[in-house]
Amino acid sequence: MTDAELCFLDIATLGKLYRQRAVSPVEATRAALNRIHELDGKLNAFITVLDEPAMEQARQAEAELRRGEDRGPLHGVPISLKDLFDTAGIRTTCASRIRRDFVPEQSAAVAVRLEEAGAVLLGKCNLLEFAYGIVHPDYGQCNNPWDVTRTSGGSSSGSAASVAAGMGWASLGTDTGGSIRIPASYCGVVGLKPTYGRVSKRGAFPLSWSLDHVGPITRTVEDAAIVLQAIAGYDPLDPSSANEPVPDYRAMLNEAVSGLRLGVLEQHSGDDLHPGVADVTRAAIAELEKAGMHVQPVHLPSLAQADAALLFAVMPEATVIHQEWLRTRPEDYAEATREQLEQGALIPAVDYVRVQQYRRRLLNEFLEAFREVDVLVNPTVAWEALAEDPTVAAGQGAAEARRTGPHDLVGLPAISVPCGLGKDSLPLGLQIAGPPMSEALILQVARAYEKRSDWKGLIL
Amino acid sequence: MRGSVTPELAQVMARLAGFEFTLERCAKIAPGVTWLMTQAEQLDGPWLMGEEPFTGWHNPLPLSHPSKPIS
Repeated sequence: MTDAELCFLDIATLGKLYRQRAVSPVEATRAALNRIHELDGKLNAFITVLDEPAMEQARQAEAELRRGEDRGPLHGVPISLKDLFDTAGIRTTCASRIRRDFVPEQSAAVAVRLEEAGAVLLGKCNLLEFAYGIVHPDYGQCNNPWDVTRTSGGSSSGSAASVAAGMGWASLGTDTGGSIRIPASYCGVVGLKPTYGRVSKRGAFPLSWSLDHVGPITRTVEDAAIVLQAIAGYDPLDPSSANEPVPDYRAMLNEAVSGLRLGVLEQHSGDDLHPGVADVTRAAIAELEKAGMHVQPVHLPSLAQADAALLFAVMPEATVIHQEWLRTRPEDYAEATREQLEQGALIPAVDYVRVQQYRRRLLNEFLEAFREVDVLVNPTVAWEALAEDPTVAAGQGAAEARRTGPHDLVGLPAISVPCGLGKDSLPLGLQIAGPPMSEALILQVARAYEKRSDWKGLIL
Repeated sequence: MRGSVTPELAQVMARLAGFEFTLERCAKIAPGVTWLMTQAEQLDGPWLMGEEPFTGWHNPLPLSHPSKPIS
């Protein structure tokens, strides 16, 4: 097996080979690190690469597995983290000048959970500055592995690019308006935004308290289920954490979807889609119909205001989070990040409150729709990867998040799964969304689609 | 119509929110704020009256909640 073949195995297969002693965690980690050093000069997916610490973790995992101390499916699996998750003793920059030298004393809750699951941390991934829509010039854009003249998408750009390019088996991202699902769509990988509260946010630098979500980016749906299993669950130290039982996310994964009801969001199937996107989406929905799902249109009366609502929720919260640095170190932000933060200071309080009323209205419309259908589908983004990331507070930025943002506003789970190539031969994503705590269901539907699709991913 | 936000108005709005931005900075951000205000108009008006603010997916109000406007 070549290094490239090894690096594109799915997690379950890699784990099986570990336990057969056909491949070792040390070999897999070395292969992944080699790929990072070979490819990242063009991609810029990593801010910090942890060569020796990763090899040490891999040696430990290998020894534990040989002793029969098996921590489960992530044991010895090389992964990465978006560089806004605190990692004790490891620099956590948020791709900013302000946090360039910040070394946390404690790790984020999800980093601890992955470590306890035996995962090997390869490094910390590039992102848009503080996950807020703009590339900081000190770090530069994370380029798309499918076309290095395009962006990998924001804000979890390095996470999606690294997974797509075989530089690790999974990564964690954060999603406030689409920052897991948008780069997953652009890079042709799977991105899962869980229900608000499903995964602890403790130790993840916030962009917007009421909208931030933590979730996995992987190459397959089963891999997403494996990673979610490791990170999901109640965290009493995170006030937003939901004290709900965690199901076995792989138990239902290969169950038939026949008889399930598939709602197609009418308002997200329309005019703003770039050429080719509607056709690819229709073909994907047709595959799910062939699998026995009942397709019906869904209309959410208040969805049209979601673009505006997202802006008026994110912007003031982000400004409050950054207010001290905005006063004391404004010149250290990228110019466009600074402008967005300054603009957020000017959002009237009444608009922020109206958005909270709107979110209630939209949530009730979603819940009403989920009485009629089991899941909702639509394209993840209306287009293929752009040359660079649009700013949040501009028409294109709002439009980029049009199909992902509503699920952040109401806190409901959604997954993006690759569904084909657009007119520029770049990946497109199909978004599958469900009611609260329905991650097992949307993973099941995503897996049903994945099995029927001829998606090959990227082999570099 | 909320109208356009001039740099001077942006500076006053920032001050009322507790921020001191120079007029030069406000000249940079004012066009964006004007655009944002046009977006905010979508949420103006009485259509959300009576709606309770969102406090999370785990706490949805029943559709017949008395705080909803009577149509």
